[in-house]
Amino acid sequence: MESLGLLVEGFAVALRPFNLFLAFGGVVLGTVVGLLPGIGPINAIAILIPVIFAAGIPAESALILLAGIYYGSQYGNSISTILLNVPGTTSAVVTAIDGYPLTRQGRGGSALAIAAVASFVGGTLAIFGLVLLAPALASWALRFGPAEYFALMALAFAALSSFSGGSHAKALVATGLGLLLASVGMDPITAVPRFTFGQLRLLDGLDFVVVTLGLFAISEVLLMVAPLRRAGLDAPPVSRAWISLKDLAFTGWSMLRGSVIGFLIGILPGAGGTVSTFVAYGAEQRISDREGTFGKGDLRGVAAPEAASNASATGAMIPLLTLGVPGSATTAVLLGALMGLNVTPGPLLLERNPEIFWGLVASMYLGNLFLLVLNLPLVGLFVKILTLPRWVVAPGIAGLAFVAVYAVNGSVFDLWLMAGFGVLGYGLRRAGIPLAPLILGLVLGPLMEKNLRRSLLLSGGEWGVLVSSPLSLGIWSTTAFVLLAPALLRRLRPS
Amino acid sequence: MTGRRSPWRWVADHHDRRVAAGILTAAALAAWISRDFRVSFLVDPVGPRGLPLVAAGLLLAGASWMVLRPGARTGPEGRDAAGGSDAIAPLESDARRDAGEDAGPDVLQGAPSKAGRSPLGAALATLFVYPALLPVLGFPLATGFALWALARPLGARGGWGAAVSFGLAGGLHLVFVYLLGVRLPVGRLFLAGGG
Repeated sequence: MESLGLLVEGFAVALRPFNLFLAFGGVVLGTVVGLLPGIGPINAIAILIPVIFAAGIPAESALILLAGIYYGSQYGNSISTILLNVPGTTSAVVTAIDGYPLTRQGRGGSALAIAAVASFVGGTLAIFGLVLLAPALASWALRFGPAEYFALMALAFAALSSFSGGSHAKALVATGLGLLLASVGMDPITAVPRFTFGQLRLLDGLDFVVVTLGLFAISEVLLMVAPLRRAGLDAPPVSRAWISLKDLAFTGWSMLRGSVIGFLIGILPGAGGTVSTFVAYGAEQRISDREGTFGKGDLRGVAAPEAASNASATGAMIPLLTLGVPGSATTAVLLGALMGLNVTPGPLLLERNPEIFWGLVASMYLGNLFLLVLNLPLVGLFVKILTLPRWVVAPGIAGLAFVAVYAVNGSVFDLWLMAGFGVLGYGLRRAGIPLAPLILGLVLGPLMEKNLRRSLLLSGGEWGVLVSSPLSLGIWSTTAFVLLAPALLRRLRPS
Repeated sequence: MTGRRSPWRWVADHHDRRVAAGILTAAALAAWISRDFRVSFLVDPVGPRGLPLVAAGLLLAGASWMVLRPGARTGPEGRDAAGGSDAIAPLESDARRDAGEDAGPDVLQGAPSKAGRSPLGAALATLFVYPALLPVLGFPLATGFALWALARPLGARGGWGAAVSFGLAGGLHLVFVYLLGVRLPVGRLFLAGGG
């Protein structure tokens, strides 16, 4: 099979000392960053983008670093979830249901160990799935024209808002804001300046790094300042995570089931970690909870969502890399990073730059391995980092954000913009308006607009072109299904 | 007026409605501004106004929904504010605090500040003054001061706050300028002959 040969070449790329170092470094950095309450993969990636540009790291190495951070931060999240009951992202919430009781029973070490192994299993199986599916999907994706891409992006939006489970009204608002921000700058087809208010600097649109760091990092700093957040910083003493064969045997099937569920849901653009963890937990509970132990500290209640979470994170890379369509806010940020590196993900990526794609896949596997090997002995150290006081963490984030934004364009105006977005992000979060649809709108908006207008130009103004091919009809039907699916999912959620 | 609340009260009473009112204003403004995005020749049926108008439409729809059905006053914002696994949501502990429950051990290092407006005001002032100071004082000094200004309302005690802040600023300067080759402002004060 051709893919296997390419994968071997990919390993050759991934095993180069520099790339190995980056994979390792990325995983460590990601874990540390993911540990800190309130900081997630998006901040880490956004901060590193200008660093990567400035250091002149080549594209395939940069991707490897970013992927390491992506995975590392998921696991870092799990650590603070299990030990402190402080999930930093909604996908980790489910892990706390059984994870935290386990900690209280003094079995935090086992929970962390099982979480690490489950993540590894989930990630590995998903990578396997990616290797199988991606080339097929990519060659199929070559049949996608602008009308089909438009439909696919609409599906991503529908799925994200459908599965968010929160207020649909607020998700609409967030999407609208994202699209509005996306329209700032010169119109791509007619070059009419939109919302630039005479500022030359805005002609190219809002810089992605500035917006992201403002909305996520600066708003985080502001949220720390006012009002006070009460992250329980009393870390219970856990010096090592212990794996026992008994635990592994007990949770094995849960890990497998979680992985499959996570992967399948992760592939769907728009649905991501949260849905997969909820569904995996619910399914596992239904299947294996005979004595009512779930919710009181059952290791399987940790294994299933953890496997699902990592599998879906990997699965989410599939639409990103093969179609160029991000399925979540984090992959949207990754897309922004890739475009800045002059790498356009999509079916052409596999054709023109296969070493980038396969190098990435190989290092994703290595990253998973590093996570497992690294995190078990180092958990005690990571836990100490959790006790860093807020007056160190907030300035740290702010300092990184300042330097990162300045490094993009050397412009002081960008710093003001970032501050402004920080205020906006703070306001939105206090109002309960989700940021993920906003980021999706910001990144996907211009792409959708281009595809829509291109297909209309090609068809001479005929709107029917949007539903004229069987492929686009298929996608629109999936969109309709996805909009109705939450009613189905509600039955599987843990009560 | 007998017994009927004025419409202003109805809006102002609920947090969500106040937010929605702001959003509706923004949407109307955006739609108004995009009137001018025109081309003299017809290129495609959507044109430059398409995206802004769709955005304004979504904002209008969402905000109207919020006005008619505002969400719970308090509640698990941790989940409501989510949009997916990577959505940055306020922590559950925030949500529980908002709902009036005990949010867990309050083990904050450093003296807790009186919550509310003034720390936020100080932080905002710092964020907006910093870019102005940067070209004048140069990166290490300006950033050091800014980080210190942020650390203080969070409970940093005097000497330590300054030490960590200036240390962070200096460290970042070293890493970015010398290790990564990024050019950071030196500051007009330090340039021979003035800026």
